[in-house]
Amino acid sequence: MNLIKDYSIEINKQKRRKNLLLFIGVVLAEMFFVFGNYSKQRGLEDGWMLMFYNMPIMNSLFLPVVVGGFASRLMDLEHKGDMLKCLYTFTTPARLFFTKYIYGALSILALVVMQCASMVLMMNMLDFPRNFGMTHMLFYGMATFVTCMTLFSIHMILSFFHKNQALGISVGILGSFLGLFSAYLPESVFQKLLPWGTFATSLFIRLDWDRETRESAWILEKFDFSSTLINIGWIAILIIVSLVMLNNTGVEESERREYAKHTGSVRIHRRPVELMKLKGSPAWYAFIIVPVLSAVIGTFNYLGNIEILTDGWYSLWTQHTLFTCYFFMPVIIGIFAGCIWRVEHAGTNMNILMTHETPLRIVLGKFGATCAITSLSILWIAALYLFAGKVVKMEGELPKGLIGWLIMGIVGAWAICAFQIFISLIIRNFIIPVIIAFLGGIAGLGCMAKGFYYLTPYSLFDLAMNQRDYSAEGFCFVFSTALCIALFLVLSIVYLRRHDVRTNE
Amino acid sequence: MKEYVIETVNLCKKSGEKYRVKDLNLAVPKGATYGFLGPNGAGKTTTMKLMLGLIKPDGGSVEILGKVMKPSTRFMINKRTGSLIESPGFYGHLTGQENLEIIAKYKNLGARDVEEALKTVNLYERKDDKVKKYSLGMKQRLGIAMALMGKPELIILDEPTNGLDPAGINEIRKLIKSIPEKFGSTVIISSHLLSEVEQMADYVGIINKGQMIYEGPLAELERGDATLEEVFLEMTKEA
Repeated sequence: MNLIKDYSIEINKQKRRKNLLLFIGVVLAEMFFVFGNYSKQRGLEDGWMLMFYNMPIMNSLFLPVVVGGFASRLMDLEHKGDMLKCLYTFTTPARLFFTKYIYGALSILALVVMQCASMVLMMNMLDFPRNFGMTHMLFYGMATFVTCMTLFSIHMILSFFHKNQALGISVGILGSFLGLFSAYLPESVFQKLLPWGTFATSLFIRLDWDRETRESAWILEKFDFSSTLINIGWIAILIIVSLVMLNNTGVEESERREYAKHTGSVRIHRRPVELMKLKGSPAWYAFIIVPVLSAVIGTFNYLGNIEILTDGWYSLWTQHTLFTCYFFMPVIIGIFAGCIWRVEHAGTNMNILMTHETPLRIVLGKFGATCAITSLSILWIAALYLFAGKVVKMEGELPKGLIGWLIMGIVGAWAICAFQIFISLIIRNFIIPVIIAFLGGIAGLGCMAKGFYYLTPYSLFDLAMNQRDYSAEGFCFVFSTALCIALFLVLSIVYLRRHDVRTNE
Repeated sequence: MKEYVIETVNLCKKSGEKYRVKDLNLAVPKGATYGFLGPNGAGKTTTMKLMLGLIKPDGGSVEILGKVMKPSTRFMINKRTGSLIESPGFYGHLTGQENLEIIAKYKNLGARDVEEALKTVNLYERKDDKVKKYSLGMKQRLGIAMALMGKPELIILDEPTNGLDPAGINEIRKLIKSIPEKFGSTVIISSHLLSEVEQMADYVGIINKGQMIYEGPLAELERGDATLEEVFLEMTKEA
């Protein structure tokens, strides 16, 4: 009975949080992608195989982030209101944890059911014959659910024991990247052990692509339960880990009391205000570390595919910037913009800010700081590229347009900065804008593939960095970028001017 | 003719269909220490936020320091004010001194002003500690320091003695009393305790359920046999 009571309390707590909206959003996004890609192949005989092949691949991209964001939202409301010290006086940490766990499990079940339903719906919309067995759908649903639950178990630990929710979402984004990346490696046990990779290792459809004829065929394989079994093992281990950690947890003072060394006189720091407010924030390191990560992967990718990548320095450039453009840059800008606004959204800080500065200067300050660090990061990417080229003893000349790409890339990235500054201003939650940045990066990829280069800030950046050898038209690029930057800065300023200041939320 | 620093005319603010502040007419004489009184939830903070342009009125207007408050004049007006609204705001990961430096930069002040502010509210010894480690009372002092920096013409303090210990309350009380003389500023302090306002203010406004029920010199309120506390309770009791 206690369980039911706890569960209904949990439902009350999550009231008006619109948690399922995140899931509905991802199901719609996936439908949109499938529809966009295959609407021309209406009535395809093997359409159902295509569906069962594409969904897990998309899931490995989207679901790690979404499940991470979801787990974080479940816990964030306790951390934000500092509720744990109160809650622990009438319930145990373990009960609190597992009530949320069950709530999450049921929500994820709803997600999987919605996704299965969306697949049937899409098959109808695309006139694919539905000649698959019920077992296929059941296996797909089961594998997806178990994988999601494994990720959820990881994220519950991260979000429950860590107040700072940036950790969870970073792991989610990294996991999504790992999952997608591992799907394109030759299959091995390693992938099955990696929970993020198991959306793809549970595939029962294989894509057979003939490089010569450029034709693809779908091949139906036997169900492979090994990934699911390994995942169930992971879940068991994670639950045990959670139990042990819950046993040792309590409400401790958030920080140890230590007294700083007293300095004699008051001296004013030279740093601009916006940079001062982000002192010690981990967001800075992302701009240094992530390009290194991207460069290492890019270099190995280049060396691994040297027989196809024959353009020398340019090929290396494409490999180096591949993940940066579509994945990393939007996300780290999103995280930085989130951090730069979070300090103001906290407590009553917005009162201070708004009584001391004009909306114009507030927005320009935040935008300027974000642009500055982003620009430095792009220069850092270039430096790493040159360094990697030297290390692999690349011959030939550097791409002619490199300097131009970098300049345009920097300006293009400012468009993303302007957009994220606006999003993080109006959405006071930290996680959602980061997820938007993540989805934006992928949408940018989609826009590039469909030829809408100038449509989104993300594709403007991709276009500028010349990741795929589309040459940008100077005028169109400058015009769209300037328009995009101006639009979102003006929207931010108008928002600050017009809207009532909100505090303590 | 008295000169007023703030005048509101039929000021209204709604949340949904309900009025948080309704047809409020308030006038603060220049140089006064104005006690803004009312029970919890009466609309004190909302009124103060309206005065500073932090929220937009749904009716009526605010004239402050000789200008009408609107988005285009907000910043010019706020530059001449200092305020502590709701609970104090702070950047917890920065030290007390760094927090005041940020305010100093906004107000174009220097190191001496930071030092003076720290000393005024007795935080100088703890200036190098992170604010998240401050106690509630220390955060409150920091908030007051932010409001006083730069000696603004108008100082608005929302329940300034919240969370302070008796010694602290006494100290802040003395500080607030000395402001008009030292800075030449007009001070507005809100409180739900008449006994507290009584010791600092010379002019009071009493608000209940979003409406002004008394405004005038404190001395006039004190007439008659009833104690001030009784007068206040009588005025604000459930109608």
